[in-house]
Amino acid sequence: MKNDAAIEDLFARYQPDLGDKDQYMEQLSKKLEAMEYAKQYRETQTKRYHRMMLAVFVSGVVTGFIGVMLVLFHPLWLFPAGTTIEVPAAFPLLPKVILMLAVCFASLCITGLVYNLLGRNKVLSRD
Amino acid sequence: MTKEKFIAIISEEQESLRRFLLALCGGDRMEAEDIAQEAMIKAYIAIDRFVERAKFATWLFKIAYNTFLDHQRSGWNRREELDAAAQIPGGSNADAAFAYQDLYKAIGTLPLREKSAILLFYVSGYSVKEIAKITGSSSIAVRKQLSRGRDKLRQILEQ
Repeated sequence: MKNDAAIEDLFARYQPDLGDKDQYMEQLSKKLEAMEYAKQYRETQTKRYHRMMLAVFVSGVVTGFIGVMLVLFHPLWLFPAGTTIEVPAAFPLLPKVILMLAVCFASLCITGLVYNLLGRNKVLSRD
Repeated sequence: MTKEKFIAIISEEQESLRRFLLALCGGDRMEAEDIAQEAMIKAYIAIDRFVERAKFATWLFKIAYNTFLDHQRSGWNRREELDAAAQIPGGSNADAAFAYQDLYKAIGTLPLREKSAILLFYVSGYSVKEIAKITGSSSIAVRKQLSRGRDKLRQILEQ
């Protein structure tokens, strides 16, 4: 393929000065060290984030489970016998729906709280 | 691959890569150095994805070539016309750059793919198959690019 002497000659003479090799490699090595640090930091942050998400997920599941169990097995704790709530005849499921919404809200609040607490720890540990 | 091993391999390949990029950037040393550094850092970050069976240099050149294309697309490359090269301020680098103005000017007339194929073939000494891997083209396409590039260069050199 390399049969064109003029073209070959043109490129054969191409030996641009690229500066001191050792100096270049030293600079590159420093940049790679900085990159290595950034890479490790990112990996640590990712692991921390995964742990945090797992903790939030577990706390949400546990809270939701406890809430549902309470509604199912101890409805009187939530609606004492003395409480008088007038349930419209057209909406017999209304109290249960309200209860479930309340449980969902509570679990969201707890989940958010856990998330914020873990987030704060993360910020503190970064400092 | 450890960092030390990476640096050892890079140490062997960096001159060839920088020479290729310098020619690809038409003698724009700053742009070529930027792309070379970026490519080496990208290679270092992605080293886990490097398959040991593959040739490291080809892999590195592929990253560098893609980085160059990214720079081109992002409009980072605001190189002035080669005719304006006379405006380059004095200094040893500028003197050296002038020494290759004919080459830069000649390859500057080629379309990107032809230019890349020609440079990888003549400056870096890659085979058609390797050039195809680096540029993401087929071997037939690379052969055509080389042939067209040679024809155009021949015409320029004859003038």
